Amino acid sequence: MSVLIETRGVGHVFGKGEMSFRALREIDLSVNRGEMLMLMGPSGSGKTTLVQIIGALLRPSEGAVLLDGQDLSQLNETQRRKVRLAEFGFVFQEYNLFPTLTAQENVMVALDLLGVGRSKARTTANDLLASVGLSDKLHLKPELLSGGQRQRVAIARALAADPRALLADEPTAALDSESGQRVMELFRDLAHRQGRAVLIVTHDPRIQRYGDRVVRIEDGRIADDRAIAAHEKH
Amino acid sequence: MQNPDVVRRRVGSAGWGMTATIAWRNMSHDPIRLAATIIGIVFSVLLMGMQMGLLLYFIHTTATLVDHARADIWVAANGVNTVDLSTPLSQRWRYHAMAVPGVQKAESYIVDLAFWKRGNGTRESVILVGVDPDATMGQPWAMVPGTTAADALSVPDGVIIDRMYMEKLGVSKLGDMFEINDRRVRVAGFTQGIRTFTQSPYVFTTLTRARELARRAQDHIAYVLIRLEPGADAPKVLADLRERLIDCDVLMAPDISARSSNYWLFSTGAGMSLIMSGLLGLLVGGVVVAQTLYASTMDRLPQYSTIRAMGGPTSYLVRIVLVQAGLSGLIGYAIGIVCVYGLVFALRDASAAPELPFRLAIFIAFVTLLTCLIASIVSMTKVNRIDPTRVFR
Repeated sequence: MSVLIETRGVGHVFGKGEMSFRALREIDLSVNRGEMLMLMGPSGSGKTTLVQIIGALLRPSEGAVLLDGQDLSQLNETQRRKVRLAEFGFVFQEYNLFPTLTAQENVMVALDLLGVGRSKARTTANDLLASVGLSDKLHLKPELLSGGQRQRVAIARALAADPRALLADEPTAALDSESGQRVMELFRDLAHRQGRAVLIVTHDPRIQRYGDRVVRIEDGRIADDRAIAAHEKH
Repeated sequence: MQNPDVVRRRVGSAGWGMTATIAWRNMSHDPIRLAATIIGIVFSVLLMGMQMGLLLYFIHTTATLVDHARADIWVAANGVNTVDLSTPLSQRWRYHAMAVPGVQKAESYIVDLAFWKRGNGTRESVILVGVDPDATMGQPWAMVPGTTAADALSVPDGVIIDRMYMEKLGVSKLGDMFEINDRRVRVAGFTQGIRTFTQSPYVFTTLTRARELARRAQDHIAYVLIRLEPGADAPKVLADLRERLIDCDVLMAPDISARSSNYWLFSTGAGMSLIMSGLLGLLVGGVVVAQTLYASTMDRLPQYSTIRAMGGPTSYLVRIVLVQAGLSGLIGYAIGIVCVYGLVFALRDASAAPELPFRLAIFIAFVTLLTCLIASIVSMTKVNRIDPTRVFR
């Protein structure tokens, strides 16, 4: 597996002067294509900040973020926006679907942002929703879907651009264990079968076993970085 | 801007279709809020339409004598503010005017206040309009078919009134006899649709009879109406007239028309109150749209932040807000303008009938949409400042 994402000496400081707060220091991390990496750590440890920096939402105060060998931290705001749009898929704890749109339309919004025409977007949205097992829920609004189904719609939306990396922030936190399990299996498929780099931020030790590697962040530093052994996965 | 090298696919521009869908669903999702928005705009359009329609009606009625007199130039006593409230003028100015090169005709015209005595003895104030039956200017217009102004005015004691004021003046048919300033008059003809701003009906009669009824001297007139020779140099004739007719106001017809309108509309405050009511309607509509649009935007902040986090441009969100504002404006305007046209139709025979020409309807549409767009500025500022990282917990 080759490296897709790499951070080199990434540090980040929020604020200035006496009120400043150092959230990350000297983070060296790489995520391979087809790898599912679990980013764990206590609240306030800096894992969300790291995901935001990797996902080109935040520019690091120090160091570099490389995507396929190219430094994202050197890009301007518009370029970083395009990188987010085309190369990263984002999944959030609260799904953040439009409650007034159907599952199909929610996915079509992401395709619309890419400039895909309405008719092609509809077909693609149907395919994406079918790929996450929701082909029978295309025309339902989020309020008529279970939490797990909503998260799968959000995953389908994240896949709209066929991104090379998926970044998920606590994707199972609002789900019951069975739904959470299905969502994690879906992420694992997206990594292992489709060769995407999947980075999941989580507090939940029960879903750690779905990953290939677990990185523990504490006080803004990498405290532990280890592969998950085969016996831990079952 | 070129895509950065790391981006493998072409990132195009989003269309309007999906933003319109999002905008409409944002609106229709909450029918009560949508109804409140639409009612606010309908109210605004109604108020604007009726107030501006009345303003237009007032502008037309305050100068209706001038606008229909077919004179090029009006000579009045110095300082006359409005045609309906005249000041006596000597007939000799007419002869002076006739001697000015470029003047084809100069005719006398009387406008005077008087009291009409109804059959039951009650009195109504009227505006007497005296014109020579053979005059080419200042004749009553809009005569009801069947009688000409000249025929009606040649009837002994004959006067012409408008059908709209028959009830007000106690008239039931042609030939009815009444008194003006205690002198007998006979209704000899009707016009249709000559309204007055002051609600004192115009009563057309001959110059001689007008003088008798108003108890004025035999050389009394109120105005000299002038028609220019074809091809005459109007500014030069006007200047010559002003030089010769000292102590007179010599004005082109459009100028005295504007002076009359301005007097009633602005000196009396009637016009300003109409304009202020119209603006108030606009303000109320704008505030309602701004408030509901902002509430709707706040409801969707998580989704908008997600779009920003996903790499959507701010312009995409601005577009949603703009479409919402535009749709609210269009729906509210469509309902509002139908109501305004309905009211205009219902009031067509009222003593004050608002006018709504197509150009005014288009102007109101423009102002309504502009107000809605201005009202969306607060929401647009909000979506412009959305922090895409806020979607991460």
